[in-house]
Amino acid sequence: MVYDLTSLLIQLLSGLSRAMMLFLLASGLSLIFGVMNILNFAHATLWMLAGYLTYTLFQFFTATMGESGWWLLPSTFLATAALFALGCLIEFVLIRRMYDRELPEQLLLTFALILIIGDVIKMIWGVDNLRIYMPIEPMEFFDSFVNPYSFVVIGVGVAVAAGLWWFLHHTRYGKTIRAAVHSREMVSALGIRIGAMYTAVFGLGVAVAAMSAGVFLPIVPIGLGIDMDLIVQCFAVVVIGGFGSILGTFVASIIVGVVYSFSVLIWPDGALAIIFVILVAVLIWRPWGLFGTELRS
Amino acid sequence: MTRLVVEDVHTYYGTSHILFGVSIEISPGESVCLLGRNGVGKTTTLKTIIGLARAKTGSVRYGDADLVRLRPDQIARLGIGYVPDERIIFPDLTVRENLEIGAKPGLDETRKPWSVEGIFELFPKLEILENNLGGYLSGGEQQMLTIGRTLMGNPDLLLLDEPVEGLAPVVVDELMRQVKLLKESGLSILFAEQNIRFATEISDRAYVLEGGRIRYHGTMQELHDRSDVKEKYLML
Repeated sequence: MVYDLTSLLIQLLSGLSRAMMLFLLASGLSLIFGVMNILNFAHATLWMLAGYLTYTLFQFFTATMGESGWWLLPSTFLATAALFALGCLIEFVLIRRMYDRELPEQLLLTFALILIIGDVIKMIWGVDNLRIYMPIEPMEFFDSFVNPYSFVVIGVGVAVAAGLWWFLHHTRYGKTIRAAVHSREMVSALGIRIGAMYTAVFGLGVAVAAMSAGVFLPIVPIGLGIDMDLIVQCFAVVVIGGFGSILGTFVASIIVGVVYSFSVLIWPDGALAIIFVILVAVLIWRPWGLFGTELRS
Repeated sequence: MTRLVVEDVHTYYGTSHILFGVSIEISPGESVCLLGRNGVGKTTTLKTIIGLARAKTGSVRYGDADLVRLRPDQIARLGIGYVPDERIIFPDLTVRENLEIGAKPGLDETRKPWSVEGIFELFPKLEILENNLGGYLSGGEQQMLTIGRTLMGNPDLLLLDEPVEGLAPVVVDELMRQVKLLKESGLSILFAEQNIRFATEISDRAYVLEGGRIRYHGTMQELHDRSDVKEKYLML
């Protein structure tokens, strides 16, 4: 096989779009863990549910109001809003009871969610893989053809990363969330309703994931079981980047996405293994991740 | 303004019994200290008032409100400010951002609300450090920031847990002067302290704690004449 510059560029593009999907998923996971010390094993399953929901909304819009790729926009928006509400509900009813519990119990609860949501999906949507076909002309890119939608995907990823960072660093609510990472008790003693904040952060983390499900529907077909593949890679991203650090999650997503994408080109069977080699190396060298804080207080 | 009445409070951490029937009263504008050595229940008493520890039996009333049934954020919004002894500043926020997190409207409309600039006037050191991260402050600066941040919530009653513990003498003098200014402004203060000298500077009355029980209470003047109490329960 010859690796010319063009095919490498295309692979890089595909790696970056994969990186953005991982980032949108992992940033919610990392935010929720950083703020309330909850490892949401069902995070990718909620992402998957959002994908199915977006698909159905898209089909509804195209069936009732004519074919157009633009329907993806309102479909994604509505599915994101619905998943934000579902995320808040899950926090309020279930997760709230787990804050003082040990990690294995948290995993047990969120694993139960994976099974329940998976079965609900099977009942409603069946077991076939679903995807949305976007009527987009391939675009010429350095003597080759690429799907211009990749650029949309990368743009959305960068925009959400920047938006999330801005929210956490430049809004009062974001700063309060960062303060609560350090001391929940102190924030509460300053008169801030920490319970409502936790509900909102959980909803926000799920909503960011839900949005990525919609955005990626035209390039990543959705099907049962994809959540397990993704959650494992998400954990790898979050551990490599450092829990609770948005910047770390972003950088780690790019590393994992791009490395995976090139490994597939060179050694398809070992692509996932290489991710875990990186993960192990980081764990040995910096157990708290590339951008994490060494010690949690 | 409101009166705080703690009555026969028993507080536990898990299964260990910490407070054994503590009763305290503070009238508006009063400055009262909880005196006692390490581990006698001063911090637990303050935490029980702000709701970070739960009284198993007994009552904590602030005006008409039953604080035992409320969360810390609800208690704080009734006008009680808490300054912990661990000086929990938010390390990756700047000094100004730390202060802004504490901002909330007060209940007493006759009092001028605190602003970041007002805090800088009280603690000039903080103004110089305005854009520094909280994690890089000295102990004294952290303590000023912790007090300033709580003041930003415009409390009527301030719970102050050993504010000068572990600070250099020159910093202690500065901080005591500033706390005195707060007392003179009419703020009620409940002040946990080991050192009777500091307590005397800002308190009208004292409760002496030992083993989770109030062993003595009276005015600071009366306490000074009771060398038996001082020898038995206090650090001289």
